[in-house]
Amino acid sequence: MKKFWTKYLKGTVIVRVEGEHAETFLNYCLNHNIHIWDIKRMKESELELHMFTDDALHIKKALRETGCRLRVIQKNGAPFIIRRMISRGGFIIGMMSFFVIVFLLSNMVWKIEVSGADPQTEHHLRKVVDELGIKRGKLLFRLPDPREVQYYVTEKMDEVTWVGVTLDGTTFKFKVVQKELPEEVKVSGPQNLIAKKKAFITDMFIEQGQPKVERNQLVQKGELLVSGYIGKDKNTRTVAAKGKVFGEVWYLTEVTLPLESTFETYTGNNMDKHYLSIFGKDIPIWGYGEVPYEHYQVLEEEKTFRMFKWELPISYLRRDVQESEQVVRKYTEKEAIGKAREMADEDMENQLDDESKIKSGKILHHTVDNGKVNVSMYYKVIENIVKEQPIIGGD
Amino acid sequence: MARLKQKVKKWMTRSLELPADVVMDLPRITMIGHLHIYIENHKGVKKFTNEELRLNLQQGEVLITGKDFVLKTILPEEILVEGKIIDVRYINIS
Repeated sequence: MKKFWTKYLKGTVIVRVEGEHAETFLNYCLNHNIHIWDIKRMKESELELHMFTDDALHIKKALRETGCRLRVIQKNGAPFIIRRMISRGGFIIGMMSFFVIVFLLSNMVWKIEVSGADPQTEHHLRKVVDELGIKRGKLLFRLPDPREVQYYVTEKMDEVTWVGVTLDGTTFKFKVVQKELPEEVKVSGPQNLIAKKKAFITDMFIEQGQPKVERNQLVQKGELLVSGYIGKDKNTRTVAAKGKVFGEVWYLTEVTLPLESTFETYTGNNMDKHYLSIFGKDIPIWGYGEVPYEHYQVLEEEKTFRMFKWELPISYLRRDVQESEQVVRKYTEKEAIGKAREMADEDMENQLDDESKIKSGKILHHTVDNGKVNVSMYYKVIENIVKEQPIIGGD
Repeated sequence: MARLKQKVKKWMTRSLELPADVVMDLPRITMIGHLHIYIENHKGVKKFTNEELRLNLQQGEVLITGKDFVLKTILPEEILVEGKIIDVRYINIS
């Protein structure tokens, strides 16, 4: 009673059985487990029936015993289709090569688009990209991924601030933001200069305006340094006060440093594992076996294959297993304080601009608790304390 | 002896309420309208034409007549016939 859809895989034939007693043939089939179905009486002495190809080849004995003759009317099923296809080999080769060609063409660089760059920069960019091997006709999965390209290009080119790299199908798109060095033409209106922060004035260079403070004077935040009003009595007029006032400013910073810290470093031993990922299932191709390292980190790199504009659910996956090592670093209290001071110095330097410099720095006090050293640093810094304040309503 | 066996089997079906087709090796015939007929427990095909199907049974035969018969499935113990069934008749039942 079952419908065997699998019978199409095995191959079936429609045969006509001719003989005086075709029923005996039926009974023979029943008794010898030969599967037959869809039996019809065609003529007085002829039955039409379906059976498997395999069986049809092994019933000579049955035919002899029952005195029937057999004629094949029709052949159905996969084996016959395959045989027919094989006999038309050119067709199959054509079909396969079509897919191969489409696959290859879909995974090729066809165009490199650059936007937002002037011709000179574009030329340079194209040259850099060319060095990377990104050329028309290159296969995509042999090229670095856009992120790497972006990193490399940004690194290589000084005249750009940022390069955005995207892979849009078969087109590499570069979006360039060029560095622009606008000339500072700041036409400032009348203004005073005031103190940015509380400081002890060490030096003054006034280009324009009337200084209101002197060297070695302590000024509070917001105090007037250079006035934009010049002239006396009736001849008073306002100008844009300009200049630099250097003052000694005090900073207090705190640095905390653990005496003992652990961190991971790579030992340099690594192991590559290659996979073919199909519908999210990773099938290893190369690099079997357990990872022989106790501590390790895995870096993944994935390349997706494309067909036309779609991404296939098949991708190539490389896992780079890097052996890592736990390193424990220990400081004595003295070392830790020294280190903390270095860190604080560096931190301070980073905060300051080019004009400023650290005059002196010293440790106010330090404490040790919970395996950490807390250091308070006191810095004297000489920096420009000028802040512009426009004069409103002045004339 | 065979008669005694037959009697025991009859008694079993009646008193133990066992299905008769299992115990007594009788055919089970299922019909769907006049379109399909499904015969289990047959003992071979005696005659098959477009209008007639004659099956051997443990005892006697069953004769099915109608039109346009096709043996849809045929297995050692069961047969499914498709067509227009007019008549189902037992022959030579002792």
